[in-house]
Amino acid sequence: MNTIEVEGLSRTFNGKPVVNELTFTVQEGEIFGFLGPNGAGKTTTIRMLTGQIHPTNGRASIAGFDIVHQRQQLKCCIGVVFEEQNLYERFNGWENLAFSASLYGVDSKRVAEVLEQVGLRERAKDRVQKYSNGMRQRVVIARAVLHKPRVLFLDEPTRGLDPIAAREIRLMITGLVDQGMTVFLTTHYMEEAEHLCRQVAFINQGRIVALDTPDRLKASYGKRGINLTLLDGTHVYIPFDEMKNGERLGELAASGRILTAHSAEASLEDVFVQLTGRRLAE
Amino acid sequence: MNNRFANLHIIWMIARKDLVDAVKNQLLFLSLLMPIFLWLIFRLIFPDMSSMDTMKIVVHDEANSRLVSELRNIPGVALSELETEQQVIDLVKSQASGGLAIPAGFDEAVAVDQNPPLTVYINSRSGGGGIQAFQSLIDQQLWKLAGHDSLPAQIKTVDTAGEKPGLFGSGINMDRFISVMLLVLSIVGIGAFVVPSLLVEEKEKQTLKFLLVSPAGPAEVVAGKALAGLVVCLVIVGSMMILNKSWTGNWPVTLLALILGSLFLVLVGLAMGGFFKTIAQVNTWSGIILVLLLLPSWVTVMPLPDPFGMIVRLVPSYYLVDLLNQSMAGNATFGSIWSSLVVLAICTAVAFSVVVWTVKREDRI
Repeated sequence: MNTIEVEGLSRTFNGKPVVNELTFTVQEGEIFGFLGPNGAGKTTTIRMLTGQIHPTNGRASIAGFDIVHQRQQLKCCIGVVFEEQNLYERFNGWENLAFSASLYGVDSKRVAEVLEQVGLRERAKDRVQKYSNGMRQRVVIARAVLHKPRVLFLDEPTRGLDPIAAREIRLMITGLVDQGMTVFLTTHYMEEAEHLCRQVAFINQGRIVALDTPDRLKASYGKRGINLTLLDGTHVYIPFDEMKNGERLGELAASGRILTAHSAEASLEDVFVQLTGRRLAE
Repeated sequence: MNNRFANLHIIWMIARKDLVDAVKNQLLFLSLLMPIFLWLIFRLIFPDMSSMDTMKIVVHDEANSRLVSELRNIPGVALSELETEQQVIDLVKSQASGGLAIPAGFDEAVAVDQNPPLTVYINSRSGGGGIQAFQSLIDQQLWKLAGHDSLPAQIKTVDTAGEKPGLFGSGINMDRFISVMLLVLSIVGIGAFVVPSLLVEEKEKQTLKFLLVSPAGPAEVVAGKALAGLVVCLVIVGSMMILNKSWTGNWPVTLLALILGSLFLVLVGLAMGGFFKTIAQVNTWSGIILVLLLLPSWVTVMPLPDPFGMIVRLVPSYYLVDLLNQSMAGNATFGSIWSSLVVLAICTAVAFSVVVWTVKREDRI
């Protein structure tokens, strides 16, 4: 069942197209990766899908609600984690969540439950000013899922976090999907997308240039073979076709000269560079 | 949940959040107390009657009026009755705090609401504090005599120093002037300096984005913030009115004027918050807007020739000043205040629409 349906979605600012003819669907309980460099149109797409701005053309529905005509119903079935850690600085963790709960008409018991889930119950009464980046991000995610939305939009959720905090956030995201939530994730961390997403779309200059599972994308744009690094520092590539009789590989293995062996499939970053000529970190 | 009820709930939640945040924000909290500090400073410069020594009042009474006997019974008032009006003028020039010339049949005319004339003599060279205390005392006694909060007589104020109408000689009650000025200063100050931060900070910290994807729409966000600003304004001006004992005259009209005026000026502050992106930008413009909106509160003592007088009437706070002056003097009638009320109400509605538009623009729908 499709939870997100997007058809020909476009947006222009001052006559300049920022998002152009996007079409895709996301199934329930799926993590959908929306990848692209800065300025590609990721945040504009999220803003359209969350009802913050209207599309210039096209249509989209989230959990069956039209993003333009059923905005109020849409708001109740989505949660949004913005690129910025936009919390009320003078409030503590509990107060930030309690305010959000009051807007959604959610019981305060749920605040305690979510704080427990994100591991912040002990620090709930501390001002968020005193929180680390990772803790703040956990509060932001807790706020977004407080009302149990069907779809969670995450805009660069691990940006600026240290590896441990980023890993915690990724674990939280997979935990939420296990509970049945659908996640729309924008990121330019390829490993994150590879690790989390069932389906990824590459967006460049407002257009989707590729849309598939990470494995299929890598297989389509990479080489079918293995890369060997030998003890003397030389690199050897052996295509799978040449490995049918195993002569060359067997010879190298027998001589004991192989230091490392890796699949020669492309990374998502390689795929993106091949498709657009740009790097994701640009 | 019923939609309308849900909207009211959201508006109140946003207002409550802003009020709690204002208390937690020490800088903001201190700036909210500034009007009360200002009031204390003004009161030191212009002490009220209770802080003064004996008030010498001279009277020429052709009516054997109850007003005179009431004045005589007030502690701290030394009253002398004189044979002629000229003697009153001479004594006010030389030593008395003020004088009255009461025409024959005054009490009877007051009893049947005929608004008889009453001449009040002051001496502008004797200093503002004594004059405003004397004028306040006469107002209070006239209300008492009439048994209601409208002035029962046509007061003609004469300055025995022969000055042209000015700050103390124009018939303006100094106490009322200061009260109105401080009230307007407080509301405009809160509106121009404190309220914009309610919206600008949400934009700077990006929390407005969170609010706008929550069930709150732009109108609820603006209404919630306006409610928070209104509560703050009314607490501050209400405290000042109590401290200043200003709940005199037509106090329900005063209350209505304060609510409507505060709401309008809070919305002006929110409009500033909507147009500007940063607190620094707001601070750059706040001073100019403060002076512009305060101007009408000065015009009552420094009448401006046209076209300047006409221009001042274009400033909406003029109508707040007008309402406060009328209500605190006890002169307010429906006929005299309705136009000011309508102008303020229209300006408030326009300001609300402008703020909602700026928030929607932020939302770029």
